[in-house]
Amino acid sequence: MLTTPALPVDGPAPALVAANRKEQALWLLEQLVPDSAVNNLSVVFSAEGPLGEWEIQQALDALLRRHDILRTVFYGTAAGLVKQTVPAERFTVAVDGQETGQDEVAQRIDAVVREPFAFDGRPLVRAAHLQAPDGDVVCVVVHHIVFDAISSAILLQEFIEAYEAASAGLGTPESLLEVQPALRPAPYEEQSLAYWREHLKGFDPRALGLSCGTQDVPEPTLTGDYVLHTLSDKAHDAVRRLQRELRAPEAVVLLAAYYLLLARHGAGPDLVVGSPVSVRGPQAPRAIGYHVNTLPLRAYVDLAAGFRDLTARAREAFFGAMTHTDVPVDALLPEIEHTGATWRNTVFRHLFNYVPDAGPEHFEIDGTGARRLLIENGHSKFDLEFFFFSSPQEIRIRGVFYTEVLGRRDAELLVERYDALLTALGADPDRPMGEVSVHSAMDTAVIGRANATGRAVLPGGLPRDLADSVTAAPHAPAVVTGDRTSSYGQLWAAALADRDLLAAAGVTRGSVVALAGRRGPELAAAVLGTWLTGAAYVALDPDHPARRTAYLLEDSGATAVLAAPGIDIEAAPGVPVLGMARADGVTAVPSDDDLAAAPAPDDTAFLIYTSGSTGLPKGTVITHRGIANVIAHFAGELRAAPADTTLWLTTFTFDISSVELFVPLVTGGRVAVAPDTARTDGAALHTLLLRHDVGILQATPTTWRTIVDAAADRLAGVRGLTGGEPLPPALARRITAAGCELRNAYAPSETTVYSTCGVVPDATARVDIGVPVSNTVAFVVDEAGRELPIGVRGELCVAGHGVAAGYHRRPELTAERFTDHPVHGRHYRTGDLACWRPDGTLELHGRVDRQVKVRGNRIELGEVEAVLLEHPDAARTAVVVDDAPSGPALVAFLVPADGAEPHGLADRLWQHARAALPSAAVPQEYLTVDAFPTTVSQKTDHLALTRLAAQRRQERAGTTAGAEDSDELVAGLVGLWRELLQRNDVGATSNFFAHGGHSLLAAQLAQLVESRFGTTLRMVDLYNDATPHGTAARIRAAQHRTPATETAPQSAPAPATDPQGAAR
Amino acid sequence: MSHAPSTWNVLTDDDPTSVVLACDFDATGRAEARFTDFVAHLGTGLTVWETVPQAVATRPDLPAEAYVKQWTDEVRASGRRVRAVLGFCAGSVYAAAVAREIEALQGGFPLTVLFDPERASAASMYWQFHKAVGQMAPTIGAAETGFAQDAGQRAQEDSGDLADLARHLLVLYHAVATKAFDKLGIDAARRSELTETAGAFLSYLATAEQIEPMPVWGRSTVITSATPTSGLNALRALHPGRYDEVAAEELRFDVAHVDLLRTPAIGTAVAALIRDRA
Repeated sequence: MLTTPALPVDGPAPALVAANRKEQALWLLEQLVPDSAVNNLSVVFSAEGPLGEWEIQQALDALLRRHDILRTVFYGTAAGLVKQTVPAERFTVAVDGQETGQDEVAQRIDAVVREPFAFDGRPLVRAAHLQAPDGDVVCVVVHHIVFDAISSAILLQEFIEAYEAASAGLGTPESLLEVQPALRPAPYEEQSLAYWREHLKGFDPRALGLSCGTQDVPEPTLTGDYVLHTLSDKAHDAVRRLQRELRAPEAVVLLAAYYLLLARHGAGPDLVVGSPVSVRGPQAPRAIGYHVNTLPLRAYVDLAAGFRDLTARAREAFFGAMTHTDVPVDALLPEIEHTGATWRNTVFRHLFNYVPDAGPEHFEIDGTGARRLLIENGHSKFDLEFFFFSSPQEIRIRGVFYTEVLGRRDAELLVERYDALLTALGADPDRPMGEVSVHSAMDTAVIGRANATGRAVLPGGLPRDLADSVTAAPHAPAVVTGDRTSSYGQLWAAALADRDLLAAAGVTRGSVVALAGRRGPELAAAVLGTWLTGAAYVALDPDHPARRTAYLLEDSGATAVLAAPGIDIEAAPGVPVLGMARADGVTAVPSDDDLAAAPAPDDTAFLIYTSGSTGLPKGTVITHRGIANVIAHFAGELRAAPADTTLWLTTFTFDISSVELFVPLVTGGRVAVAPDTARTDGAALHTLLLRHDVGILQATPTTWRTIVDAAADRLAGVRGLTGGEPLPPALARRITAAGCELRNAYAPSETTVYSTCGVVPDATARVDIGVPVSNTVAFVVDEAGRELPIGVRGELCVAGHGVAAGYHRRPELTAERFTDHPVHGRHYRTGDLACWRPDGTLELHGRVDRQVKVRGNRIELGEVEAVLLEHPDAARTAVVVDDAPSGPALVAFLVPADGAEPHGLADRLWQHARAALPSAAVPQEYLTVDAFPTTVSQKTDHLALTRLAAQRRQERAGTTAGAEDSDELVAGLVGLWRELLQRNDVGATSNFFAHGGHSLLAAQLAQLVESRFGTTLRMVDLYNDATPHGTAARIRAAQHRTPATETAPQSAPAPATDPQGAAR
Repeated sequence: MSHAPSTWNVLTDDDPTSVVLACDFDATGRAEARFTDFVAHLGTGLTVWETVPQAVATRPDLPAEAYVKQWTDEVRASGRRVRAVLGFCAGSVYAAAVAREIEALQGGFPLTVLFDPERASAASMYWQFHKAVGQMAPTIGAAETGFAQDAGQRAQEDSGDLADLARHLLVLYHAVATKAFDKLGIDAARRSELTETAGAFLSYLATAEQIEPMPVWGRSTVITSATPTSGLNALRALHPGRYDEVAAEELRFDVAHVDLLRTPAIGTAVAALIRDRA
């Protein structure tokens, strides 16, 4: 134990009084993280030599005698916090002397500083004297409730004085003898209150969250860490220049830049940052104690304006605050709307702490050199706090951050970007702030490196590449279907036959040919044959309904259909349906003539149809440049070689299927065709993998689940690829654990198959989408299209070879989604939320349009789904917002995992969500379904689920409506209860006082009962029975005693003798 | 019984010859269980009266004897034998004074049972004020109520005694409550009921300071809850080692303070104590 409490054992106990509101607030905050050091402050210094044990104790005793506040102790009670000031003669804190090895010093200091204090009457001061070989360290740790930053400077100075006197054999210096009574907060001025009310009017603290870091956790830990940064010379020069040019003090310039930093990371634009100021007043400048008010400084960041504008706003906020420091922010909080679903009770989440003169770091104590050490307590009460230590030589920043919300790397980048911003602002304070780059050197380097994807791609495109494969090995097996093997030469011959057939039917360069066939050599040859005419293809799924097929034929403008044997396609008059050539007959070797009509890079390779917002599928025009680029990339990335077999598993109407077909064909390998049933039949899959010795395997995560369930033993050494939907980390871990070399790839169809790809590490906790593929540039932008740096979430955009020509016959939509960028050129806005990670990979965070606001909280539905999916009982999850009359509610739909116990499933999921998500993001309802409704492109149909949620709610309402009380009087009273208590969960037996009622509300209730029911109700009656039921009985009893001239008796309510007659 | 007492509330009236006296201030719409809950667990055959402090506590500066005298006068006039005196929380202070008077009257110390006994203090008085004022925050704004709370907190640090503090707090309460009443349109009857209740409660707490209950507590049975911040638990936490033995007998129950008077086992235990004395 470090300290010995010495409380009074005889004589009258010192007066025990209730703590003031500021002290209460600090105590309440500490209740959030009990047994923590969140409010521990410290004065720590290391000396170059040994210090005297006795002298240290003497010095500490002198300070404890001098300052009443340091002898004030607190007790947490049921009613609230109480305190008493213990007389000096009964209060000692023994300095804990510890001999320690040099290498243990830092650890010992941390242990002393991070030991929690208790609100149980023990001293809130402790001291330790660490005796180490290289010199001694003195730690004085004091709870914030009796201390603050200015106190520590005062304490250190007085400590040195007292120590030196003791060392010289003198008593306590005269200057330290006078006892300092605790300074109490002065009542605040009405005028100040009015100022702050006006200043914060209409402020909404919910916009304070940054677009970087992670979601807040449900149970706050307030764990903190910090980074240190000294402003670069350039930035420091810029600050000086801005001070002169904008006629603002240094603090204001730094504050304005802090606002801008936050705004450029997604906060605001209406921003409040907290700024602690001393409220000691001129009478007691050297009072030790908790004498800071953290003032809410508000400014609007208009990114279209220059920094000059923001500085003016910051100056106004700053000086306005300085003349109204007396109001503690807690006094105003209840007047400001906030979410209520959070532990945060303040209007700010970010702190600006400017210390103009931090005092010397180096000093002498009794002739020995010493150095002040700044020791953190391992906590942070705010998301981010920038402490500025300013001296003429340098400006140092200590960036303290809440580790549940921001990572160390986030914090490092934030200070670096702050530096970069200042430098840029100094160069031109009138440049619109939205145009100033917020990137640090690291942001630029990492993102630049990730996007350095330029590779030479041969201009011939896939037809030429395939011809090369055929020429190299015409008899090599190309496509294996069951027992049938087609060689490269047979494939080529079939392609030529198809070409001739199409050409005869009038297909030429620029035409569209519909291909209707299942995966197999004929379909492969048909693709090739189409391309050899210079036409593009659109794939038809033989299993799709005729209506959809007819729509696709019409919308694509297909001039001919090539159908596999046995597939019946009804085409419009004038559109010939031709039979695909068989690919197991003659062999051909490519000649130059064969490629005469082969397409150019900008020609269309195929149309890919995906669901459109109108409900009708829309076709995206994919170029040969795009498909050739992605196939070349994956041929390299998957190290595909002639000896490899790749499984062709994915349905051909899904664009990723082309990787399974063309990667092997351009590298001379073998395509093994899997039947459709294999995607869901584990045993069939296992057989295929074994039989064909499959080395390259691509599937959507859904299919990978089947694969890993049935064929984990076949995955060692397999080069796996997945894409098309988000890969759950748990699944990724299972696949990699089976020895598969797994890659996760990503792209919307509009940027051609895949735009990014990355290897999934073993045992990964989260899954990224890797880095841009060859000749691809990815960038993340904010709502205004400004590029975002590492860790900041925004919309992912993709430029490069893969960008489609646009939507087929949809010029407006094309113009909306395919836009130009001054640096990156033509690109596609994916609608996906993403951010760069520090390693240059990209991480997805759901859809931009699936970010919703529920009761003011920004919630990313995709993230909620991802959390739910981590639960082993959930196979698939979808979360929608149900706009119920009582307010929007999150509803989770679940497809249970195989073998999941249905009983209590909702509760388990709810518990799981509650532990991982902020309360506003926890779905209120969990509905189990066998399968999700899907859109035409097999994606979850969220609109249909939203309708289903509303339908279920209405069904429920229908079954409970009859439960209302049939007694009109009771029902009327329940209505009154609900009205006054402003809650709906109140019934006939609900106690008014147990549901938030209090005496003032009771007075209103009594009055309303009187006016509505004509019966006088005294408040004491309510105290005796505060339920609608009891009150109804009392009203009836009173009415029964007509004429009701007397008030009801004080004893228990009389029974209702004639309830029917009394009801009105 | 010829007529109902005015300073006592009759909770049960099963025995015309004797009475059990319960000391509490029960007019605040509180969360804690009350003696009206408790009598249900005492069984039948007893008459139980409960103090009506509002009837006697009209000003914070009256002598405590004046309260106690009004109560005991009515007991004396009833001619009933007092079988036990009960006290809840701060009511235990008054229970001590009533028990002393009954001892003088009947010539023997009555069975005295105290539930989480507590002395009135500046802090507890302030908390009551703080809570009552805080309830007005939605009506007149937290800044306004906070201002009054701060002033009350300072008054509590400055006041010499509880009567002085009660006066201060009443003035503050009245000023802030008037604003709230105006805003809510509370009528005169309800205003005076609210103000009188607040005044009576503060007076009840303040006047208790004049009574030194410890000697009587030392002869009583104390029922202690499991709530660490209530009753003797709190006293001991604040003064370690000083109040190990406060009562003649102490019964501990593993229930929260708020539930003491609604716990059947406690009712049964107290009924047995009363029976044993008969």
